Amino acid sequence: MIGLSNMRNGIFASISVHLLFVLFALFGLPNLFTQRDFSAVIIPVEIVTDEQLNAPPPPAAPEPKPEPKPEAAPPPPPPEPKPEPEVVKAPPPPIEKPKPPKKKEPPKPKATALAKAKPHSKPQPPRKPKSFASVLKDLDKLEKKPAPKVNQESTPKDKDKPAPDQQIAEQASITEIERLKQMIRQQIEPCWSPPVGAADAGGLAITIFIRVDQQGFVREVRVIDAPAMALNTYVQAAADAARRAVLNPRCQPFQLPINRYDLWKEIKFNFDPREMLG
Amino acid sequence: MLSHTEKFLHRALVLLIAVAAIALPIAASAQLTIDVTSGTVEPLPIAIPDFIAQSPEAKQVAADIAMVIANDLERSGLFAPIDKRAFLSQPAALSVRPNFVNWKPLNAQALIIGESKLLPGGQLRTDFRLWDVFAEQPMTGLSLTTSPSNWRRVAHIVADAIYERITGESGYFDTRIVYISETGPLERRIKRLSIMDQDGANHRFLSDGNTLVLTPRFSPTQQEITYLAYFNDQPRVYLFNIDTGEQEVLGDFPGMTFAPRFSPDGNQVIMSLAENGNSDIHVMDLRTRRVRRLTKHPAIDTAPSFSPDGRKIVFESDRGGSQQLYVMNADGSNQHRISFKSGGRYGTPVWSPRGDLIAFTKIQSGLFHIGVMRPDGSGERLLTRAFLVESPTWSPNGRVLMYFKQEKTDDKGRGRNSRLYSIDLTGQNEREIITPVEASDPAWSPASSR
Repeated sequence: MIGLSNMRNGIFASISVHLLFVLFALFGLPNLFTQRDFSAVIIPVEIVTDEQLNAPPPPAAPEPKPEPKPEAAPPPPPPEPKPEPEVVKAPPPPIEKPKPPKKKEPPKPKATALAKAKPHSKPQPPRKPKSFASVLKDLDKLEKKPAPKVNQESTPKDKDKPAPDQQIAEQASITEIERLKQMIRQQIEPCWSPPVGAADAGGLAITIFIRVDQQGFVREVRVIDAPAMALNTYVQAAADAARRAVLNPRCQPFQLPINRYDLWKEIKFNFDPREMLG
Repeated sequence: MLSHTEKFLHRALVLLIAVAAIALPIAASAQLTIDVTSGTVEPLPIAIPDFIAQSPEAKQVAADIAMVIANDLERSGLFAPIDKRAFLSQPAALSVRPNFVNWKPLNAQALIIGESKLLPGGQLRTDFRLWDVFAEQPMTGLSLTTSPSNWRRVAHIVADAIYERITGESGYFDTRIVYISETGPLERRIKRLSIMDQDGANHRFLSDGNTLVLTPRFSPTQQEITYLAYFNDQPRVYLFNIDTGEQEVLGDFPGMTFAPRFSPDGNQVIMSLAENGNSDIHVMDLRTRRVRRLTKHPAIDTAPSFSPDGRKIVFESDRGGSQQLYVMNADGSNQHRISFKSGGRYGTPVWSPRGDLIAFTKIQSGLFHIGVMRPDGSGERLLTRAFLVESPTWSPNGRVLMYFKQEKTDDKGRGRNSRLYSIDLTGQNEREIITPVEASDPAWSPASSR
């Protein structure tokens, strides 16, 4: 009786074990699902389509006609000469099918127009990139804090948080992951120049997914929720800025430990300028 | 029996999960999530080669257009045009995809390729395309046809399109500035109404200097300016038509009228009317010429400015004992103070066309400041200061402020040096706008005001 009961228990246990294995195979890897959902909503942010790029060259003759009002010679003071009519804006011209890359031309040392350019505002000394917490100037605050924090080391918000991804936490120690995040952050920050002067700039957070090869070069970039972004020019500009940050050759390749490639081959960046605005 | 089996099954499952959690290898498909909250604010490196001339006659204008675009973008402080001498190649044609390998080493993040040609009818046609160099993708493009004499406007419109695509905000390069040009000694100052493009080009005097003119303001919808001029030593508000040169007095009021400004729809002018030493805010409907009084207070209420939706008005008043900023509804109701930071007097408030901020002048510690605050008075920031900075005016996209700055004069009244300046909303990019003579009281036109 006892033997039979034991045998039955064994069968149940065996079934349970097999079931569990099946369950693990199906649901034990939540990241796979995250990824699938994630890629499903990703659409590039561009507004000019490939069709436009590959369309035949524009016809030479017909174009939208403006009303060509000849500019009257400007008479002296009071009666203002009527300015020229609005120029006609036409849709972007189609572009010929891309030709094979041209031969690289040697550099042409030509000091032309830009050098001669005579701006009507006085030239400013070249500005150094600013990478402090609040990029919005306030003379009052500057006086109260004479030594502004320069090169603020990453985000306290992020530093204080434990690694969000449970799976990564199980693969590597939290310290190791935080160190890795810090390294990546430090490499990407110099290349991220968000549109801080935009209206509601603090709300322009952008999430970007990248895939990196073993040499540390970015091989794939996807902006999350791109369709919604295309509707808002501010968000689109912020998404472009974030994408430029991860694609900028100045900040590549990522200098990261190759033995932990499995940890950094796929990265999701949340670019959030709120703290920069103070 | 059944419950016993269930219990056992439960136990087995729990055990198995525990064992599996320890023993099973964790899947390697992990994704690192990184919050980036600190960046580097620097202008975007942009390559602007000379536009390709499709005909020999267009060669000069093609180069000039590229130059004006580069100057516009550079002055905004948001772009850094790359020195043309560093270019590794020149674009061959607009229809040919750029060879990005030649632009990436220059750290060019954007590239503009354009073409100009003279059409058989004598018109100038200009096409351009903006490229994202890193993504190797086109971003925007335009085609413009106009009289060749309009080449500067073509350049400004192209610069506006680039600015808009990169920043998300509409550009402000195809705009004009009216201001007061000043010449002569202080006691016999000649002030003339003047107009120029936002970059200082196409400068013209609109008045001859026989009358003293002050505080010009552009109409948001027409080729009109409202301003203050003295007639028989009495200040009065006038309307001036830029196209025809005609001017008219805005109403025949018993007292002095000053500080005029258009409503956002251009149908009303709001101003101060002073009688018996007290000034209140009045609004005149330009279609009916009817005047309505909006404030009635023994204190001085002046410098009114509409919100862009026309529903609110910000103004300055000393009704609380010192000069502060107040907001009210467009019908004069719900008047309440918004400036509360201690230690300063506030004046000349101007509501941003974007609606999110109010610019103002603040006198604090004996110096003038230009600052901004939200319409509820929060988030005050002081952007610049000097012995005298006054008369802030917004670019039509609400991103840049222009004002005039004066230095302290010496014992003999020298060194006043009144000049126009602009500053980006971040406060990081202050530039002088070069004018032929001294300048004050600038007013920015709305977008495409011609």
